Amino acid sequence: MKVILFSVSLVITGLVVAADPFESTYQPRDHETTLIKGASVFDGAGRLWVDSDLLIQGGKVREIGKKLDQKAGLILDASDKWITPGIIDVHSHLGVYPSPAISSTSDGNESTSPNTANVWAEHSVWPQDPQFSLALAGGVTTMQILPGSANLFGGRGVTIKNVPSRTVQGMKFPSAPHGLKMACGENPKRVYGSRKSAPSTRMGNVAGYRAEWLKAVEYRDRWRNYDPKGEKPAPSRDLRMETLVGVLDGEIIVHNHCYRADEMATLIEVSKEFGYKIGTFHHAVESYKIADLLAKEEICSAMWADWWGFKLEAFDGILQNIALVENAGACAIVHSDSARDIQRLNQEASKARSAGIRMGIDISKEDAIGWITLNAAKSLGIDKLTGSLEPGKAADLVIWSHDPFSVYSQAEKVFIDGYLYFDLITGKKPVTDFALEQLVEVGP
Amino acid sequence: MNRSSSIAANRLLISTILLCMFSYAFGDSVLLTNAKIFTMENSRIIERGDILIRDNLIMEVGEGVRPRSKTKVVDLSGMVITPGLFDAYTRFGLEEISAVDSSRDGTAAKGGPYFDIQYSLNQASTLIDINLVEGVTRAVSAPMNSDDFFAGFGASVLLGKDKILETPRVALFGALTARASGSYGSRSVLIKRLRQSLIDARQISVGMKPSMSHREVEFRYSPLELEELAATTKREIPFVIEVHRVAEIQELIAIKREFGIRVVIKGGAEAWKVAGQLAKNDIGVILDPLDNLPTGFERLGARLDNATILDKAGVLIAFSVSDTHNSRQMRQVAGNAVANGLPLLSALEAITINPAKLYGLQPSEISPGNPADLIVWNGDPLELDTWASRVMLDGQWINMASRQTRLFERYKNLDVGRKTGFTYQ
Repeated sequence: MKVILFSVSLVITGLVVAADPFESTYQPRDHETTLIKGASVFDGAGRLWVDSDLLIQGGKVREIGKKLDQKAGLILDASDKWITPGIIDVHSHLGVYPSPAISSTSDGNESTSPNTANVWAEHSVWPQDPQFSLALAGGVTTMQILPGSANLFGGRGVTIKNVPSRTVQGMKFPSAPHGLKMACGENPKRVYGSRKSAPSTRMGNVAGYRAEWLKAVEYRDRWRNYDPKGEKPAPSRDLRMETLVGVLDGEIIVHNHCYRADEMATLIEVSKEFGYKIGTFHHAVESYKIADLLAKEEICSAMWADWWGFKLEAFDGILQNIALVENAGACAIVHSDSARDIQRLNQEASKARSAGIRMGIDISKEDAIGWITLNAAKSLGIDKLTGSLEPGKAADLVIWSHDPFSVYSQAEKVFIDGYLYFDLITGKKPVTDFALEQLVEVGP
Repeated sequence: MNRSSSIAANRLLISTILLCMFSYAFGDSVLLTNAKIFTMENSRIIERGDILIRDNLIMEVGEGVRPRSKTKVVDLSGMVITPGLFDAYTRFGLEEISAVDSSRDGTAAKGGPYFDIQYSLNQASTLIDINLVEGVTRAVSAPMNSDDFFAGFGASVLLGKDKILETPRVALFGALTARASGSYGSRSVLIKRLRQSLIDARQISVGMKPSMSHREVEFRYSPLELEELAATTKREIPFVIEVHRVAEIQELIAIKREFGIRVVIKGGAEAWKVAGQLAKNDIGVILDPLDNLPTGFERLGARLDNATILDKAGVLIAFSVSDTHNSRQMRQVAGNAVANGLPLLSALEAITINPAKLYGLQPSEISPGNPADLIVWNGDPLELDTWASRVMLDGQWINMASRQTRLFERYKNLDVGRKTGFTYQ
């Protein structure tokens, strides 16, 4: 019965990926109407509101302004404190590479074929990974969990709300599009080249992408030409191709791991050949070399503040990469790819901003905060819902002890859809099953 | 040049120089004035102070230091001066690109007390300038721990020198971890092997042959290695041991007491649980304060305020950044330690003088007679919106360029956005 319904919906919508298995079951938690008073608010959309109040009602930001006169069940004095949108990390492997990191928990890389677009990261996510709670303590409210970069097509990424849940479905960000992880450069050619199979070179990588996109176009056309009323049987489903067609149809966003500028340019050509759009280049340590091209093509760069040199394709990483991308008018994002650095993306943004200022590129804090909030939300296709503090958007936000661009600043309170999930002062925080009697359950 | 060995001589000379100072022309000298100075000597902070430098040495530190006849005065109002930063555990000179084996010399096919990294230190490494211009001037380069107890000898290095080796064989490095016990199957075997090796070394050091009566012959080091071990024990250089779980830390404390060796813990994810015992037994800890992930079953107790708890108990702590390419993150990790309760001065000590103390080297305090290795910061040295404005090594301002600043210069005018420029092909 389900199969029949599925096939029918395919035809009705004209899409291969129409039915929605593994749907989100996340429900925002009830909370009191909350008024935060007297804070400095970076709204993520380029403004700083000084000495202002912020009203949260029904999980949404209702109003920001001076001396809001509203009744609220919970009133928080935040004078001398700072507010930002909840931090969004577009590149995380929490849950798929959890702590403890042992072979039985290593679920991030299905490195068995150069195209594993059929695998979904959410089917590896362990919701009890204690690292989620540590990221929350750093103010991270949303993240995209991606498969690794062993393959040309690594599989689908999932965007989650950083909430405690027994199931991954309970964390899934409702209505967020899937991402497709693609990878350039050293990793795929090393993984498969060492097995004497393709790809073993960068040209082999590109041939691999093109061959798969050719198949995807054929697959899409086969379904488009299928007439359910006709006599021909329906084409058989292919999970790999469904993901790729999702990209061709603009429903799945491409997140392309790519370090080198020249390879990014080549991948842009591949995308044009087959008519899809690259959303974001990840680990883009050389974006500064082609910031103009990335601005023109409207492709985001997700970058580290200072990582470099751990492999040859990361050798040209410089501290000013992010500032130069921003300065060129291209979309800049600070990402972590790290369970360590996801805990302080505000500091990573601050370092990147300082590196720009040091070299005469003046970037305001109001703009720089967008690297870890609104620009990240755009990259994930959820910017209408979160990423900035504006009336009607999700009350995903952080109250900081100091200016979040300071090394001494700590996330004091973290709200997701208006609900207080983390409180440094009272010690409130999610404790995973794994943590019980084993990890430090209180304190930092 | 080996600077630290000449420091004692310098200290003797300095009194003579100070005596002569007023009667002779002073020669070319530099006076840095009006800076906030963290001398790192006896916790002394000078809110608005001066440093007189002649040739490569610090001559005078204090308030209202008088310039001499030919002194060049540099006004550093609003600036902060600290000694150069010292990373206590790195791969400087031993690793260019982590994933390129041919650029690495920190791992031996067979580690152990015979491996010594001093012969392969690459002074031309790009990591050196890249971190030097951010204020890192000194480090210990250590061999990588492998699947055995001992990894080998590390050396202290001075960044920015023609020959970066400062002092060879500053410590014998090793590990008491799950990984190190991998080839034996149990940490018990590893600990027994360590104990037996030290017994054998002790025998050798008193001119006796190691006892062959025990059965674990297959776990033993060669006579050559045992001689190195015996010499190490005699010279009282520290054993720097990576260890995380409380059970193994306590074994290590017992071994230290039994054999009277010097021990420094590297990592120490759960060291905070036995902070008092470590302090009592004079065991210091080298750690990355941001290393709070329970990434293995032996580090389930990892926490962000490990450094704070250790410091409060009186343990000598020094910091290290896990990735040497970003040793420049040292002030950020120190800043985070402060955010998690560590006093500012303790954090600064952990990235300047404490590493030297742990390795038995001369600490580079800002003090008369010491080499003039200084960093001028444009604000709080641990903050994210400050940077090293100038770096002085041996009394000379260094050229603040690195491969990364060169890349920036090459591509900075590419922009076609808010600023005018040209487009690359």
